Amino acid sequence: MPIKVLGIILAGGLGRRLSPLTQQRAKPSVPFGGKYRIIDFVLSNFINSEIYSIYVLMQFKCQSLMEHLRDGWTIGSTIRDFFIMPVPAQMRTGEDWYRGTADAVYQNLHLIERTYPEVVAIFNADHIYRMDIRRMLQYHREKEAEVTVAAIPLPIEKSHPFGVIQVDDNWRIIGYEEKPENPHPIPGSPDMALVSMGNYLFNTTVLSETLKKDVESSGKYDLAGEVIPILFQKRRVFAYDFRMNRIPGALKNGENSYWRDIGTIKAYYEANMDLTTPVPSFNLYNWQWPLRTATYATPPAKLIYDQYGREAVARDSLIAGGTIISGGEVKNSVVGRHVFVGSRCLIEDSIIFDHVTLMEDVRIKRAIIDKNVTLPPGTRIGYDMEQDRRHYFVDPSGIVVVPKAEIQKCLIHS
Amino acid sequence: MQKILAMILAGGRVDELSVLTFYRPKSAVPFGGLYRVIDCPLSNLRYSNIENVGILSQYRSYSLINHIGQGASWDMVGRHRGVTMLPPFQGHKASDWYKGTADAVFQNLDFINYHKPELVMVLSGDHIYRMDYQPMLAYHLKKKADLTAAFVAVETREAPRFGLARIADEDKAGGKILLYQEKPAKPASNWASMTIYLFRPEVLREVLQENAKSDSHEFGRDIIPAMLGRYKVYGYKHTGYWGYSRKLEEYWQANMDTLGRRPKIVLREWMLRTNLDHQAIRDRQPAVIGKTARINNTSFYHGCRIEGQVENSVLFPGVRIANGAIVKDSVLFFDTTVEEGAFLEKVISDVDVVIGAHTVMGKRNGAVAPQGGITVIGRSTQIPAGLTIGPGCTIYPDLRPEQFTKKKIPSGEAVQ
Repeated sequence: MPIKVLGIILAGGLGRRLSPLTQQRAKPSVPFGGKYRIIDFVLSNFINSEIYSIYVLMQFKCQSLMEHLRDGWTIGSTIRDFFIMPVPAQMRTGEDWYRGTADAVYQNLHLIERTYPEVVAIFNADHIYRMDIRRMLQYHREKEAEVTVAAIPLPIEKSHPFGVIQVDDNWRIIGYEEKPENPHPIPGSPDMALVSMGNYLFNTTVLSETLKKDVESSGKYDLAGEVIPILFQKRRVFAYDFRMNRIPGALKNGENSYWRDIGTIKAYYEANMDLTTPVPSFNLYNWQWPLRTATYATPPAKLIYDQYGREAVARDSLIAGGTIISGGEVKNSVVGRHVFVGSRCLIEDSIIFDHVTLMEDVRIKRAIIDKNVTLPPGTRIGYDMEQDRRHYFVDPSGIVVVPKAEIQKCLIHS
Repeated sequence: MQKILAMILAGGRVDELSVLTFYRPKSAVPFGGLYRVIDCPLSNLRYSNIENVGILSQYRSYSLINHIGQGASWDMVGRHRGVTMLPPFQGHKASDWYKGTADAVFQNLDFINYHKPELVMVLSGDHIYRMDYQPMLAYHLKKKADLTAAFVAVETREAPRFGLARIADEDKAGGKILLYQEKPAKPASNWASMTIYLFRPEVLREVLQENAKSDSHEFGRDIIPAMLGRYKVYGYKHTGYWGYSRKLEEYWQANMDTLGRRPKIVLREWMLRTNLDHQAIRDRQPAVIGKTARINNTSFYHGCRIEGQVENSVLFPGVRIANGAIVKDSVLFFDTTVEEGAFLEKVISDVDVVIGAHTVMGKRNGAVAPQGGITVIGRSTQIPAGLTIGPGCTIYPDLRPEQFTKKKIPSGEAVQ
């Protein structure tokens, strides 16, 4: 018998550490991989797992996210249970915005109670990965769990920045620590710790009882940090090992276990660069598990000679539609839509968003150029950190970010 | 604003396009690296705010029906807009397959009556061009014409292939049609009909009913000449790119016209709309350009994976070019695979074609070859490795590697 599942995507995060990419948009709507947005990953996971009733909870800077949902994720029109619906904070329960992940769900309990699904799948919108949620649901049932938390084993030394779960031999959760100094290892693998992916399955009754008590009475607003750590003491809460998940059509190189938290500029940059390697660790194009997004009838991309007859060059790169490279060179980069790369340009190890114009002789190394930016002839980025710091944003990792055109103006004038 | 109903003639096969129109009418032939030919008139209609469209289909209409869908790609879904497919139907008396362009419209007069338009536009779905129909419409109204037909200047030596009109020099936009000849041996003008007609509905009804009694039913050959002298028939002169593309060479050239530093067809400006669900364009990832790729004067799209050398070519979504392969002057449709070390010159390959490793196709070495030296490969054919296929060959659809019995196929031959 099919489980009736309601999907809830937590898309309200500010994504401060991804600034300035998040200065005008919520983190889930930051572009990724040339034509996608980060939220496309979780949405594709839901749709490919045949979960078609989805609320997307959002609040900060959600205009771009809502437009993206409209352009790419409008589903179903006649069947009531098929929807992807943006839910901005509406102050239904009082004069507060969403005060945390648990509060966001709590403020929308009426939406859950209205449909009364068997299970509520609460997933975050911040990660790059692919997951067949049906397999996690199966696990949830087999364990007779009331709550299941998706978790990925990471080497202990890499697990500090995350929430680490402690499990018993049966993978029932017996402890949870946010950013621990000494993470508990997984039973049987002393070098590995179990990191929460921020994706949960809740039996509906457990969810509404818990939230009513915790949020309403005790003022606990954070799902990972405040609600889960006490929930496992009374309820059957299990961890689901992400390594067990299999999606159809995956590459044999461990793609199934690919998961990236792209909370920082460096992590975001590296996940994009993963796409440019000869055998990408993450294949965006899988017939059996398509990554969907908003698509426009952009014309084909072109490589053409420039006015001096100089050839354009592209290598080890991802290039989206509408982009024209005219006598310039693009290496090891991810290039979005409607980008123009002019004569004698050299773009290396960089991420270029949509509608960027690079005029003659622009050289860019290890940089992220946000939407709508035009760089005048002779611009150099990534060659002189001192100079870059004066004009743009430079991440501690040395990656230069040129913010969206509109923000850049403010930056220069201030 | 006038209520206009557009009827697109989209059923024709066009023999000269060879195996490309084996499984689809000309209007559904892929074009420009992403689109279908019919996207041109449909996008023109969209941008001209003409939002009620009937599409007269006939030959193997599956591909066309699939492409049009509900018309949402051209924003033609709504309370007062819509696209309707009008395939031929069995008449009351006998099987009345469309017997010509005029007959196709005649058989759908009830559809026109139902819409009660103030103007009927009849236009071909087979041509590659960009045109705002509104000025032509304004001209038609200004002249209080019964019929206005659009014309474009063609080269004099090409003129005998077209319907030609001598147009009175009334103003810059055109004038009364003085003489109309369908494909004359001795052209009296070089203004060629673009097969775009604006009719007053009453007049259209009248002339179609009259024509139904005769045994030839074409707008160009029969309707226009019969109307001259009896009705107000105007010629409207259009300037700009117009791709007739009824011959393989012309079709190839129209694709090449999207390339170059100053392309004749500026797709970025045309902004053609197309159905992104067709061939799953929507779900394909950005093109992947590998370490060994060398790409010159070439367009490509999402889903392409290029590791070899490409020059002066148009690659549709999903085309894969392996390391060591060389592709020149070619148009490769959706999901064509060119395997390692293969060589292609002036090849048009249909959807899902595979060209085996080290196969050499169309190498001309300067020699003259039939059909302009273009080698065309039909849908889903798999060409085995190590073959040599001369220029100007025609390879039929759905062939398996074992069906190629010869290692060498000389110039101009057909394999079926």
